[in-house]
Amino acid sequence: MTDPANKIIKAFPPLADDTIIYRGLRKKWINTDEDEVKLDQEAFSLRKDINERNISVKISIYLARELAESRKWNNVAVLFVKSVRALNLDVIQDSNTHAGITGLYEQTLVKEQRLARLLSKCSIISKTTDLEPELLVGLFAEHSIIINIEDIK
Amino acid sequence: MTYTKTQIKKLRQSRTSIRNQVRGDRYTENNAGLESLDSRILSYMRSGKHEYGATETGRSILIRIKLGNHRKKRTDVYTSTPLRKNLHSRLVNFDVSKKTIFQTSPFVITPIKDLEITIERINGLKEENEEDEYGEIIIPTEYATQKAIELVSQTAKLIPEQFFKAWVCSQDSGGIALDWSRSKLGQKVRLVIPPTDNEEIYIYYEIGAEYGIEHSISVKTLSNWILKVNDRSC
Repeated sequence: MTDPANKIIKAFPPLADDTIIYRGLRKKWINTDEDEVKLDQEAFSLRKDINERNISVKISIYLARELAESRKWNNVAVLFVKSVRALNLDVIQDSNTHAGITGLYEQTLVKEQRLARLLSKCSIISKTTDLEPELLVGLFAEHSIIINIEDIK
Repeated sequence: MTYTKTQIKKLRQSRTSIRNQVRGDRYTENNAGLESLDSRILSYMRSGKHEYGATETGRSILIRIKLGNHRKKRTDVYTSTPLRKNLHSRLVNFDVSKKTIFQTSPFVITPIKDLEITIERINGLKEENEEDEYGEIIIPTEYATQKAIELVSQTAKLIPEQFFKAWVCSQDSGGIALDWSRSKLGQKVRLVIPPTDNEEIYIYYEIGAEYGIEHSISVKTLSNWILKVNDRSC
């Protein structure tokens, strides 16, 4: 059920719009060529070779940090469920700590690329070491997003 | 040592005359390639006895040759013709670090730095040691690596002035994605090279509000897309 390559079984209630989701980032997914650091769309691209059907994300800040540290990822993409839904995609919870971004698999190649790009655009890049509720509130503030510390699970 | 006014004038004239020998009037349609440079300068460079280097300075190239004799050493600087768009394919390309002249035809001035960076990045993917979410390390296949290097090298030769470095990352089970983007212009092109030649190479582009995919990729099509990414009027 938690294998992101498999289809998600809807066993949990829908996530609230203001739920924050986290995706660990490989170094090469962060493009530093221009003045502004950008997230490469590869971060939200499905792996065709294993027939991946949804993009794996964490819904717990602490577990996101734990996973990132175990994989030696220095950065994590942080975004809201509502940003994903605004693109006509969804985030479906499949365990207490894990969810999957769904809706990409059904798209045509061009649409899938476009959506991956838009997902990367609406993400905030956070250092793994900054994945603390207090620090995350500061990070959101930098992007002019007001958030309550209690909302960060 | 002091010079008289006449001596200074003569010196200036001789410098101008040297410069004129390598100026644009020597780059003609029928005189393309290495021979379009002054033969004396070429013989210096080919002899292997003199250090030389070339620097692109916006619209022209400075060629520096260290000439020595038993009394003193000096560095002569020659300026090439301005890099006009319709002219650059007739100039010579230098690899300063290796002290070699690229024996390609037609001779082009390639922004060596950006091409080298891109090739380094492609080759660097082989040494990746970062695991993905499944705990796998994705290393590009030999096919994807060679194809990527081939395409960027040829593209850089075709559009030497407009070619710029790509952001590179590995994909799926050994493919490579190369990204050229100008965020401020809202323009980007992404070249996707699959792990094997059983799948198709394609380009994903975003130019302003337009986006799409182009199949059947050649050096020409990639060059055209890079030109579009650079185009401020799009």
